[in-house]
Amino acid sequence: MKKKSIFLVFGIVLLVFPHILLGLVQTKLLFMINLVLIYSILTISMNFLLAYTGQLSLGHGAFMAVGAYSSTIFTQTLGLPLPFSIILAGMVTGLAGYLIGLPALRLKGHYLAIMTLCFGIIIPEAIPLWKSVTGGFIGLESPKFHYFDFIFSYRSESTIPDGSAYYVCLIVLAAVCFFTSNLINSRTGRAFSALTGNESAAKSLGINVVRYKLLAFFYCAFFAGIAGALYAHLIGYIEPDQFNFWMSVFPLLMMFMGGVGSNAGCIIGAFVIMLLPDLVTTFVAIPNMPYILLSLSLILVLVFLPNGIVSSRPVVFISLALPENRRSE
Amino acid sequence: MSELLDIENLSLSFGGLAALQDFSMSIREKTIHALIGPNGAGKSTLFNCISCLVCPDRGKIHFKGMDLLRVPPYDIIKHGISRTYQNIVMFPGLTVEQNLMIGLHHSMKSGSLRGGLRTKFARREEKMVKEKAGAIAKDLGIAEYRYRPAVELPIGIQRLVELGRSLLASPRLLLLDEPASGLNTKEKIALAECLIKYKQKYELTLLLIEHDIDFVMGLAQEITVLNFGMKIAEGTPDQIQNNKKVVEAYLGDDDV
Repeated sequence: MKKKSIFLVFGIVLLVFPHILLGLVQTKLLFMINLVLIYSILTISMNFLLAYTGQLSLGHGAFMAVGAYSSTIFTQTLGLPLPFSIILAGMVTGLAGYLIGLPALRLKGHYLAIMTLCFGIIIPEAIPLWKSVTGGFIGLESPKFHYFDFIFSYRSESTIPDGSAYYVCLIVLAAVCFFTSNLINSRTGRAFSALTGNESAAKSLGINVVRYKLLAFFYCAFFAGIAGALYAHLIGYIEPDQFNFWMSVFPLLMMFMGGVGSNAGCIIGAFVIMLLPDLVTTFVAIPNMPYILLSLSLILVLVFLPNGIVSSRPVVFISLALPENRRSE
Repeated sequence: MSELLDIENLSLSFGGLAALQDFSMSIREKTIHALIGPNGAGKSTLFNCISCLVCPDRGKIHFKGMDLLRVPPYDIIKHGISRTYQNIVMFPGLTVEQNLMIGLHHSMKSGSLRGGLRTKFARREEKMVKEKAGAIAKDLGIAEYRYRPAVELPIGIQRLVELGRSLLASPRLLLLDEPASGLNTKEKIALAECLIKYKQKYELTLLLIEHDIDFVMGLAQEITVLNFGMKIAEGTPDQIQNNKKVVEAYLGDDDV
């Protein structure tokens, strides 16, 4: 009962949120919130791989890039409708993840992380080389979201796509949370835990270790690809430079800031990492201060809350409303 | 009684060390067969060969007349062989119930898509598997620990969870690697009773490795003794106890 009411309040706040922001003429903030939602999906994808199969990916920016470019090309050159092309972009990225998973089967731990890191470097560098499809260094223009424009019709034209994007991102994030938390508590999730715990014992229990490892890579890349597609359609254009190394590092920081192993933690982490620097800038005028403070606060979190912000008492209350990935009764 | 498992001239060496040399044995259906021998005799290696985790250099293993060495390791359980480990394997992050449920993994049908979307089929299957796990937990007397993280529990309980997990796979042949180690006398007696009960209930064939001679003598119908990867004796508990070679292997040959 209590949980239901928290959920209801939380839902209403999420739905009217953009209107309040726009009422305050904070259009930039709404854009930032959309980015937070997209980064949440990306972080959940990274967390999925780390927390349940024990594999760290340092190349999520590359998955984002594949998703963003695929979806843009599908809509612009093939003329596919947006929702369809986003899902298709996820599939293409998932396939890329599957292919990355093949050499990754031979690598473990740090070595695997370094391999994904290399992949994260290769893709953004390779994109401009395929100029005829990717538009080279100039990039491509990507259509924006207009599905929920009617809700914002009282506003000026310029803010409408961001408002629409907000609801689209929210729906996708909710779907990703729903899917991952179900998956973890299903037969597949148990198989992931088993092969992380002891590979040969997992085999003896009938778990096809190779298949499940590749499956984990597929889903992880699929979610990251979806995030990439949303990103392309939010910004309205894509260029190789957007998918630099920082795009792989941000979800990593967000995951540890919020709490590894928890969807709620990933979302909270994304909020803090994306919005804290802006918040700091409004109070402190020293130019490099925001990122120094951000990094310092992450160090403090790692030392005092090793399980992330989500493990602190006041946050537990809020995160009650979010689908939780922790396996407990 | 027919032979369930037939091992012929199995040889395996790691570098220069011969873990198994020309080893042959057969296990009759519905018996309790024990494998004993000093440390490093190759007992666990033999278990790993039977579960296809390591591939022998030479030799054959037939199970129900089927060539076992051609089966991929993750299909072994489908054919009816499940096992436990010398160093208990409890999967971290999972509760006792979830650890038990993994024993039914191979018999479940819902894949990642049905699991992720929580379809009606997946929910129904999950419920059914949970009930089966609950039933075996109750039977083994570990129902009260069902929702506890398995790795935090005492060794005795973990051994039972592992036994329950391998029983849930409804095997024909159950391989137990030192099931009684780390247990006190009372727990050992309970385990022996439990094994006899399940053997009859599910018509199991048991192959067990054990160091506790009293435990083995009381339980096994047939004993094979291994030393330096070679079979040195085979027979009923009485025959083994009076075998000169066995006494030598255990106590040293310059014994009076």
